[in-house]
Amino acid sequence: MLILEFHSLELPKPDRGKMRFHKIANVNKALDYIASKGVKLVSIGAEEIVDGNVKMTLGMIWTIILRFAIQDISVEETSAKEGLLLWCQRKTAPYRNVNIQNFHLSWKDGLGLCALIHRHRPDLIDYSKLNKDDPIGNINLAMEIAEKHLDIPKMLDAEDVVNTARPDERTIMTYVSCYYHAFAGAQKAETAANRICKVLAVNQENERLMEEYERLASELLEWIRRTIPWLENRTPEKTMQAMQKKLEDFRDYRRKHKPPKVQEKCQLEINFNTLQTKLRISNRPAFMPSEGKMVSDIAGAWQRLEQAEKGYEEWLLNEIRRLERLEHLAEKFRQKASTHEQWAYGKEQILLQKDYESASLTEVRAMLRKHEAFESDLAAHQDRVEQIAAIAQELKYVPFKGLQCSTLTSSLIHTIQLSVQYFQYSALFSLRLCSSVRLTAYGDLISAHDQFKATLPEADGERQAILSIQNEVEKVIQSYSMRISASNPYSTVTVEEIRTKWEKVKQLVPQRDQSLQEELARQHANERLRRQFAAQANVIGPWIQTKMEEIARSSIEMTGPLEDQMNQLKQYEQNIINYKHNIDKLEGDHQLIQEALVFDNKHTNYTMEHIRVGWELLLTTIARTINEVETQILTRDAKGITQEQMNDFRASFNHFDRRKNGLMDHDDFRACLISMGYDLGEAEFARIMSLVDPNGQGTVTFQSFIDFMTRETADTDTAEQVIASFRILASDKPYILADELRRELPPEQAQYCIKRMPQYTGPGSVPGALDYTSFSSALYGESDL
Amino acid sequence: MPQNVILPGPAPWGFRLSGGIDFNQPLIITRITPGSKASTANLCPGDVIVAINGLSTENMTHNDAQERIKAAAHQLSLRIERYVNISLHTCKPTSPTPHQAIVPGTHPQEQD
Repeated sequence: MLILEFHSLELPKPDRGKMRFHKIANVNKALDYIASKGVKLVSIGAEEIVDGNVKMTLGMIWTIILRFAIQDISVEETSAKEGLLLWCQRKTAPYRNVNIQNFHLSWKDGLGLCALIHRHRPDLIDYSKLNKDDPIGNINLAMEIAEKHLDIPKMLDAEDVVNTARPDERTIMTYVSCYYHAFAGAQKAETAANRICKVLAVNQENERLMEEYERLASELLEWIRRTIPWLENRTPEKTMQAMQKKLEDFRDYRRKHKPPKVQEKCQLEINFNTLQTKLRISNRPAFMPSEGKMVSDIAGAWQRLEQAEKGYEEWLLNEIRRLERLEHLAEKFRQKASTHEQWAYGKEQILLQKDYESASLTEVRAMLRKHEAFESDLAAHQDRVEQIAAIAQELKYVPFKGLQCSTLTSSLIHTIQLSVQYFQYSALFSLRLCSSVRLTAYGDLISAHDQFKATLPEADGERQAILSIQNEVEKVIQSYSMRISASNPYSTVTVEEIRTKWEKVKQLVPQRDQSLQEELARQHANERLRRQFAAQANVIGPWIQTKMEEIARSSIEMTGPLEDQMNQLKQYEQNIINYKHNIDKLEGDHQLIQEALVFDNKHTNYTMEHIRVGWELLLTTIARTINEVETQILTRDAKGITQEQMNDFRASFNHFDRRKNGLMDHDDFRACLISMGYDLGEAEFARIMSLVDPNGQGTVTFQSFIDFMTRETADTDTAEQVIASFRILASDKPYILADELRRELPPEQAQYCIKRMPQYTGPGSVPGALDYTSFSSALYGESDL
Repeated sequence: MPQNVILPGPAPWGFRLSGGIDFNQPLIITRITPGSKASTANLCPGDVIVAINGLSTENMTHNDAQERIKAAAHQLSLRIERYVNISLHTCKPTSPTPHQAIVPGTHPQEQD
């Protein structure tokens, strides 16, 4: 019973009593227990044992040990032994002076035991100091360490092992199997704890990514919410400076504020994709962002932003153009209006004179002449006046600064009403001076100006003629001492007027020359700007196009490994980053063009907006494509195993595939698992069998074996695996205690678990029992109820 | 149209529960163990659990829901919403089809 107790936990209580029948009862209890575990005891009865039949007893003891210490299903020793042997070979493979072929001779020099210890706990033994010339020392050393640190009793007699020709196989196997349990068990616990930590780490990482997504999404949406009203605001400013400031603000927006946001949006998409991939790979439920922050919501908001943007720049330019024209018109109006005002000044008075009522015939005739002159004057003016009126009409409806057009308009209209068709204009001069040339083309302006300059000599001649006439009139008056004024009754234009106006012309002509020159220079400069912009844009546009095509091709045509594709994409990314300064330069030229109020460019089909949009699209595309390849790599690696591992598995399988038909039977599989350190309990083994042999055919194919090993060794985890890991740490109990968690897991993860695990309320519960099953399944958002 | 389903106790009920507010997903049944109490009661994968023993699941975390279901001893009362989509569900209809005779003491699906 004591031996059984040593090997197993679940034992019926022994009867206390020294009587033979007590002993027989105890032994029977033990035998029944053994039989219940499926161990066939051949002709062993309680009496034989109690009566001290040594051979029988020893045999039975050995059977017990074999069954419980080495735990095979069948009574066949071979599979357990083989599994154990293979395990020893694996673990001692790196030690060149150890060669385990069996459980007798191979262990005689003691190095095998030491190697096993060193392989798992190099801190306990200094292997390099050992050599095979001291076998007894080696064996004793190993046993000493095993007893002290691994709780393994000294079962061997070193001298016996060394001095016997062929040491006893069973003894050695028993002792070695203790090592197996100690190390494989510790390893299992460590693996389980690692697995749990990994799972929790994955969880925490996923939670972090989800929070980050939500945060970035809100920030971006908030920025969009603030920006759209600004772009949709179409209230025009009153001055051109204010509008140009708006244009400048918009340029700033496009060059400085928006690009980082474009990147943020791209990053958000990428984060979302990566997160979903990671969740899928780690078997977690997909991520559903909270209301209003879904990918579709963000895409929708972004679209609205770009719509608002599109109209805004156009509107800005139109407004500025309109304002410029208005300013120009207002200036023209001012000039013409003031000129006309000067001309019209006093005329009204004259026209209202009723002096003709009391005049003589001669006087009336003179007045009529004067009147005819004025009439032609006014007729010539008419056209201009109508222009002014038209401008005034236009300006009247615009709240344009510094113009009191309404009063001027009405006075002009009044003058027209009074004097239309009754006056003749004699000073053609004035007309020319104030003539407005409604030419829009600069070239026309120049030719008109030149024409005008050409007429100056002639006009001067006329002026001289007029002056000489006046002089003569004065002379005649003088010589005849007439008491009439020298003023011309036939004309309202006096000599003074002529003189002042001539002075003015002499001033204005060179001035106009200069402004025309300046305008010419400006036109040339603008043309230069246009060409410069065009030259760059015509290079950049196609470059962007080519890059986009290259990126698209790389994902379609790539046949090599994903890493190669990644490298190429990274190279493209670098090219793009290096190219950026060209875009900046173009923006600079564009700014100059806008400041010079140039709105057209026939040298290129690309506008700044085209280039901007193309550039943003390029940046987004390369980032997205890189992310796609990353996702593919993640997915590939998550399901994969290394070539080395594959070779290992193949070797194991082949070894246990006795009939060489690509199949293992259950016992072989069990041995195979043992050889890999998977010492499994009944329930666990049954579970695994149902996975690898779902149809209960009694055999395990290589494929299902590989699938199973991949699942076990790869990074993917499932609720079941996590539960299994916790079960190991909980020593097979259905609940785990806080102390156990603290002992096996790092403090942070232990605390995390203790805080979140619910109370265990199933059968066998004790206070403080934590339910790891529901905790684990809740991690994956799934529970079986 | 929500339906009320009552499962006679005790557990296990035989279905897999998924979702919860901590996963931003509705509480939904994703698997029915064949021959279990859940399958006898005609629950189907895709059924959304709207209330557990009368309590609304609107703001429940996965753990909450799990606890409440586990707490049910004699019977489990669920109110479910089923969004009928022929391609998704392989469940049989709850009411017997007209041409089947209603034999007392048996359910249509037990005649398989």
